[in-house]
Amino acid sequence: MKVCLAILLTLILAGGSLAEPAGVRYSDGRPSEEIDLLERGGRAYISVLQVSRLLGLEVSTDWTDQEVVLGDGTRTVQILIGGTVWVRDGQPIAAGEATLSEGDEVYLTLPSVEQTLAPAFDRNLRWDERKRTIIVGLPAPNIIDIEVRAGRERVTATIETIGMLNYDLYPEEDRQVRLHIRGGVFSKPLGFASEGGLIERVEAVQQTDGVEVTVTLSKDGPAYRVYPRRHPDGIVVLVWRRTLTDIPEPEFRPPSQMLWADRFSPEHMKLDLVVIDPGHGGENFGSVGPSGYMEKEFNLEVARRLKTALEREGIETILTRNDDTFIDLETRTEVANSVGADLFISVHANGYRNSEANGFEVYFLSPAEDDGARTVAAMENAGREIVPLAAGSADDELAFILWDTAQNEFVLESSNLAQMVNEEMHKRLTLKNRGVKQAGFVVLAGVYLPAVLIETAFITNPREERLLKDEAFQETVADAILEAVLRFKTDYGR
Amino acid sequence: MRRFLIALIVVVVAIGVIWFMRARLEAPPPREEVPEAEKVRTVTLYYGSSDGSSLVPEVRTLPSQETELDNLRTLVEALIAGSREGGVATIPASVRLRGVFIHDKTAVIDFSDELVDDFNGGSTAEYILIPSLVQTVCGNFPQIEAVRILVEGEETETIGGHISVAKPLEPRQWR
Repeated sequence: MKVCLAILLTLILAGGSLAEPAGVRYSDGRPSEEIDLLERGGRAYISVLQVSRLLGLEVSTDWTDQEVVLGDGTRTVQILIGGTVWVRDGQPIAAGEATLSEGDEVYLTLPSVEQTLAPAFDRNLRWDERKRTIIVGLPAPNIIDIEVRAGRERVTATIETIGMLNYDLYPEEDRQVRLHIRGGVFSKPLGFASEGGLIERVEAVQQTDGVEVTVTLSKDGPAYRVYPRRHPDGIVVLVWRRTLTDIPEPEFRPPSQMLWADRFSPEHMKLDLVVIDPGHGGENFGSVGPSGYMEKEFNLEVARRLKTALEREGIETILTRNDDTFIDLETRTEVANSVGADLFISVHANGYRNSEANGFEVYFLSPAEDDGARTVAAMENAGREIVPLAAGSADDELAFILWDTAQNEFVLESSNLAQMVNEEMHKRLTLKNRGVKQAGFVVLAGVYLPAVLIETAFITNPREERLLKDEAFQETVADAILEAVLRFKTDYGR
Repeated sequence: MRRFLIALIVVVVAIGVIWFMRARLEAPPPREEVPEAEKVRTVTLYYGSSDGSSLVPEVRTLPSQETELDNLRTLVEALIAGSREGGVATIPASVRLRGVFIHDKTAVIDFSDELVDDFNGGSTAEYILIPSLVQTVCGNFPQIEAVRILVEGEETETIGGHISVAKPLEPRQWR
């Protein structure tokens, strides 16, 4: 009995300094193994000898100077036994945690190996405490796939990533758009090729410091832009047919001497061109108020004030119409697409058959939830098929469906912008806030950029009609939209 | 005595019938003629709420027609005529129904061009018109799965210049 107690006491005194096994996985193909870790005070320690083996380092322990020296032939790291300051090549580096020595062995905590020792030698070691596994080698792949969605007028190549990865975008050269994804690692060779498509080829090459993606554009020189995407995370390369020559109205004069490639080069990624669309016009009055004030008049007033305000902030602004003329919806979207605008804002006043209806609301485009979207989802589930471009062929219907859903790329940015416009209007106006809504707006569906439609107030409501006519109110509305645009610009770092 | 009683009953009934008919003729004609002897059917019409943010159902009794197409026509005409219970009409009252037909489980409804010309509404009016029509049609005809709007016999992209009606409209998406 006493013997039993003594054994138990010894175990308790040992205070959990028992050896606990942990798994080791190598990402370079070496077989997995199991090693013993030392558990002390709830922390996991690994012996210096084990660490040097896992990371392929030489180790020498000098008990006289009370230090351990690890080296890879060119660099050394000295660790003072019991101390916290580590020295690499004579320079102190951010120390890990205190070492532990037991018997002839020196132990390091796993977090200090992960965060200090391995990076000092450009090695990668990760400690997964929950799974009790040490992962040695390259970081886990963070580029999952490159998905190309093709349509007649536009193609998106989406580089799907785990988390947001930073990238460098190089100016287009010989139809090739090159981006270097810093710290990118892919799990399998990725690529895409299509004859006669807007995107001819996508190639991804693994390099030591990241992945280089090269997108080869078709010979007819389409316009393109590259932007990061959140939820799901990725980098989108959007390519569409240039239709510069199709703009009929003189007031849509595109900014002079601006080259397309320039606009989408890194220094031009910033938000500096907004298209404002005053709704209706000409014989299309929009809604008409009880005293005869027409929506088309209000829309143009606010659009002009907003243009002045944006330009004061150094943001170039183009109006889809600058006088009382009717412009069809297709032309309005064409303007935004062809000048390579960064935002599209359609200004309206609301109308309803009941004159009591009141308040403001902000709309953005609904993502497609029709049969087409379901078809695409089913296709993706069936194995992420890449559909080649097939202009004028039997695949037209499918191409159209894919094109349709490609518009969804901007849903998130559009919803954020709509939210900001709504908040800024809410702050400044004493009108009822009818919220942010989604609907299948024709004018928003055609634009390849973040786009919102604002219904300022009900012109069919006598009280709100008076407000809409009021210049101070028009100025306040323009001010609210301006503030939202500036917030959007800041939030997206453009 | 017995003969006299029968004659009296006949006379009383006859007077009653004549009185009833006269009363009916003199009374202001109801907006929807529902001849007594004919079959009727109840339907649910959907109008706009006072702020235009939702639909308001209204149960109505309409004469039952010989064909489903005629029933559909009567239903849409009742919707155009407007609410009797304070719902907000979604389609301008000036609109004429040019025709209806059913093709491949889709109701194709052809309106006169007043639908566009007299629309005078913003996004809210347009955004409630579509579910008002789609729910009224599909809710009363389970075999109809979508509604397609024509104006003067032709497909139209939009009614008020905001929302696309170029594709068939399904009740699942337009509530």
